[in-house]
Amino acid sequence: MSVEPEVPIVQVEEVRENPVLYKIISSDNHVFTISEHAVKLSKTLWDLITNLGLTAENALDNPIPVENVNGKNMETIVQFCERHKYDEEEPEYTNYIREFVLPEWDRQLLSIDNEELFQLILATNYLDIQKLMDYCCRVIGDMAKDKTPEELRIIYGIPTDAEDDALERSASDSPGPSG
Amino acid sequence: MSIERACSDYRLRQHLYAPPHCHVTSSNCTAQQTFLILPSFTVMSSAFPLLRLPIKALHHVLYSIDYVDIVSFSLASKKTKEVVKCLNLQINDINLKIDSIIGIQIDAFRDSPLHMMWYFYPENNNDSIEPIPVYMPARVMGMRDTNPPQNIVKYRNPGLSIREWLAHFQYIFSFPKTSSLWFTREICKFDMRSLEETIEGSEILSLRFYGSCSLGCAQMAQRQFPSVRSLCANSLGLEDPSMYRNILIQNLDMLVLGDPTTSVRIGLDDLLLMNSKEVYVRSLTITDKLINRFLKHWMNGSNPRMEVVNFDFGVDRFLDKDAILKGTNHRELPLNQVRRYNRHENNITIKGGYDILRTDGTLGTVGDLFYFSVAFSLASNKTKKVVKSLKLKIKNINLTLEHTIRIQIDAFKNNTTRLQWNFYPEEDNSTTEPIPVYMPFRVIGMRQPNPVQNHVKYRNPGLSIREWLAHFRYIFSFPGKYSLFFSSETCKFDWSSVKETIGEYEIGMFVFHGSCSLKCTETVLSQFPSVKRFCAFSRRLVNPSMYSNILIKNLDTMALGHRTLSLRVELDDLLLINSKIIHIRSLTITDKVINRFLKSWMRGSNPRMDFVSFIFSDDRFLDKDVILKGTNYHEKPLEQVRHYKSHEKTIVVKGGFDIHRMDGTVGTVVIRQLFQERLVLFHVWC
Repeated sequence: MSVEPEVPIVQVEEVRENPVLYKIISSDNHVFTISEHAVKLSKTLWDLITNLGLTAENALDNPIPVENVNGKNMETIVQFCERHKYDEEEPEYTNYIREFVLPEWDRQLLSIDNEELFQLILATNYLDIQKLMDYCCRVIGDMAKDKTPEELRIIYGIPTDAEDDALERSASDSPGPSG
Repeated sequence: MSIERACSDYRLRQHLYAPPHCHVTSSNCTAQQTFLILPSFTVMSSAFPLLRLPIKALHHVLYSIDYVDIVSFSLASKKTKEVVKCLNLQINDINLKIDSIIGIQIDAFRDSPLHMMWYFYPENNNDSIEPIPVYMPARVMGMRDTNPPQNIVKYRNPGLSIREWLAHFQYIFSFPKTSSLWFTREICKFDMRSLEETIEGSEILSLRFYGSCSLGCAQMAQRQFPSVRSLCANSLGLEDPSMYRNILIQNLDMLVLGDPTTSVRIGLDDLLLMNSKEVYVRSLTITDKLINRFLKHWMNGSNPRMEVVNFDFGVDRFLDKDAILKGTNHRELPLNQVRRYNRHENNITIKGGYDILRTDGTLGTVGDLFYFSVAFSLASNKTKKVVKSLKLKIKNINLTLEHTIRIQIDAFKNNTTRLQWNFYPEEDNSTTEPIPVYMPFRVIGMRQPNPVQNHVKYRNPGLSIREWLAHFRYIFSFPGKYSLFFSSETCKFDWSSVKETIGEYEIGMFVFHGSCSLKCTETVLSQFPSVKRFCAFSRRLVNPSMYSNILIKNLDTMALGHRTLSLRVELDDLLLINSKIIHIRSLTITDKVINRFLKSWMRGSNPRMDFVSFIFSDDRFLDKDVILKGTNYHEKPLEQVRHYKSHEKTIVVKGGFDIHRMDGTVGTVVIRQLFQERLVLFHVWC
């Protein structure tokens, strides 16, 4: 019998008073509706919406295509933003180690394979979603816990110095653009 | 702004923000569509391609990596070493500890109060005649230096000598090539020349002698490293300063004599010989009269280089201000008169004090009179750091919110002593509750248990409750979570103010005792839903059937009942509890109830439970046959010892009776007597 809580289904539609909704199209043409509070978590998207002057009246008629973010990743991002849209704002990053525990819901959301996680981080970095970035980084950072340098090389695919040198040599040996 | 213009601007931003390997393609921008383009990578291996992340994301990940692991990461390749250096992680000090083996301690890693420790082990124990050369490490162990240590890693040394390790730390943390040397053994095991070679290239700023380091060893080290600027004489071999006056007279920046583990015997002559700028002395032989004579010598021109002197007397000491200041013609300044001066880039604040004058016109201020370490630590930023450096260990910090606010510190210096600090408002607030957490006006500190000892009272030196908590955390290097105690029927303080007082730190446990009501308990739990440990010790909480909504919570620990209470708990209540660790102290629990509880567990009830204890303070006889009836148990002999891990502790289970749940999980029932108490313990093996 599982004792872990189920990942709750996130309501994409805003249920509070008169929500403003926006549409986002993923690279594989999945359309996502996201509430104003949620989309504000992405600095990039919100800047774009502000600059374009999208309003409650025309928002749904002006979908924003985000190329190279596939539907799966976009779904994760939308779910995350909807889940955390009312969270208190986090302080800016400082040099201090931030001791926080990844909430179980988010841990489950981010239980995806490394390739998906990599793509999700790229998307998150680009869409500038600080909290999701924090959480993804915690998941990746936790992979390093109590590992030896050798193990870290495997976990993070770090080339050895010899491999780095060989790569550098082959790069310098290969002909440049002119020749 | 037109949509076209916005799109154009946006593409420009894409160029600005995109990672270096991100290709930005032009797109047909229409009023309906704006394109964001992200790079597409093909990630073939199962490894996470960390170094292929954009630099901002890479740094973000590395900032999330724990203490020791970041060092391990820096050792993976030259590239990772450079990446870690680029993070500009700050540290405060690098100490080389010379014991039977050699260790390196990194202080204030990324402003954390905790140390990072690395130990280096030789391949074999070297039985050669000492002193021996510094060895090439075969194995290394790194850890976060907490009690117990955390984030421990052990691996074979990746080919670095200790000198190279030192250089590695200095490089990745961009730390100046300086270090402190610590000696703890009676006689240094290592050849001093070899030691000097190990730290060649680094300037030794400080020598520190701890443990059983002998006078001979200290003198030898001092000769070998004559350019040090500070010296700490905290070893058993250095308790008599009259034996090392050649060190006392040195023109050092800082001289520290004594710590809680030593009994320094110092006289006026030795004090007058000291020629350091900062002097910190912890000694029981310093009397008020001696301080008085020392101050008067200073007024007449002795110790001309001295800028700061601090005396610490340990505990149980009443200082007589009149005896200390007799004949100094001092001028008393009120506590609300604040003066500031700069020392070592720190802004030091002095509140009040007693001004005295030297014959050449130099002004000195005798600061707060310190009763024990906590009071001492409040005197200045420097004394705060000195107390921190004593590494006094504590177990818990408890915040009690009742009519007044209290902070209790458990297991101060590893014994059963509890320090208690009561904070009183300027006047009783009779306004309608809830009120904000007040700014304390007066403070009373004491040492418990009864009779209360070491009682001190003074005006609050300007700290809020939040700042007091932070102060205790800092001076005791306390990394843990607070426990919150509620004993009044209702909490008089408003919740946002309580949360602000707690700040960014976590609450680990709630204890409801005294007359705390169920309503208050439920309010507290709803305000702090993430707290996982719950203790119901209030006389209003003796009937658990009234709060089954709390019993069913997925907590880590639930403790019901106290020695002074008559908890009325029934089997139905027990079966509702969904916590991992359960402690029940109730006389209404019979052997038969325990038996039915165990059999319910075997059928699948309480699936999250790891451990339960039933504790009885009466002299009852626990009938094993009744408790285990129908459980088909297997008795284990007492000499069969098993280890049970619970919350980072390892508990030894001797013997017991194994029972099985339907899914194959094994649990062990142990029936014991511990002093006057009878216990039935049940461990579930995971």
